[in-house]
Amino acid sequence: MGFPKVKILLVEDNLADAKLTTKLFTRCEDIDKDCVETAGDGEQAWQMLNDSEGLRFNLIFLDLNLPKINGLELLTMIRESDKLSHLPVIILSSSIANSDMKKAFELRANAYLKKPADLMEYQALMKKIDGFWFQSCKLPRINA
Amino acid sequence: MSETVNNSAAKLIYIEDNESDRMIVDKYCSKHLGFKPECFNNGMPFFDYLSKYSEIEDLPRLILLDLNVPEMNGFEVIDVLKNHDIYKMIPVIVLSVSDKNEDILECYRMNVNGYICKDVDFETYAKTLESTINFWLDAAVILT
Repeated sequence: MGFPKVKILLVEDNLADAKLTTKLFTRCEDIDKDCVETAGDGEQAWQMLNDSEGLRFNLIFLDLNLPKINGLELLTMIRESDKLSHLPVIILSSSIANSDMKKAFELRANAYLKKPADLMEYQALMKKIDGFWFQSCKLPRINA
Repeated sequence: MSETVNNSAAKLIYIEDNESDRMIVDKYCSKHLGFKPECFNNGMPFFDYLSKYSEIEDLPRLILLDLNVPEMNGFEVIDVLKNHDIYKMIPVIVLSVSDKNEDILECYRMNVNGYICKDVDFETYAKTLESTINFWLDAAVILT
């Protein structure tokens, strides 16, 4: 495999959800294990993003309900950072409360997805994520 | 005829001055979605149209925006949309002939939701549009 086009930071504190999402990501044509890294809380994600000055990742999937620094707080920090503000952030949350969505869009989340309740639904969602974000969308260039 | 529901705006907006590009989107939407997008040559007539709708639930679900349109160009359209209290909630996908990283970064910094390249090959471009519409109209959650 050549230079990766997509490098994902998945921010998810639920280990089972993180494993399932990673597994579904890596079933997509252009995504292998090296294309996905996981952070278990907002603080760890912030550290990982800043270690590379925003050049290691070009797509973030972000849960909202996280320990230490929650998803909306992390999104605020990303958008206020000169080095990170360009990064596309997709919210992947079990909550579709209008209040959460409104805050996420006000903080310039690129998209908001409801975390599916069952595997088949999740596979169908992943197909659409793959089609747009991994196959069609131009993402900022990364330095691997 | 574009799809309109009660007093809502069309679900899909396409700001594009190139007739053949419009035909590709029209053809895909007519065949697969059963409706055509509402098309505008540039930002001026589009904002005249959008000004009739002020409630979040009446706004378009997706805007496909060519950057290189006359009079009010794509960057000016993004600037107005993404600095408006309500309009900033509408997903905007940029269509561009450029795949330069600087152009991609500039658009993400202006808070576009996604960036796709126009492909000269009809089949490839149609597939890209299909993935874009599938993700944004079927998977992404919006405020209601």
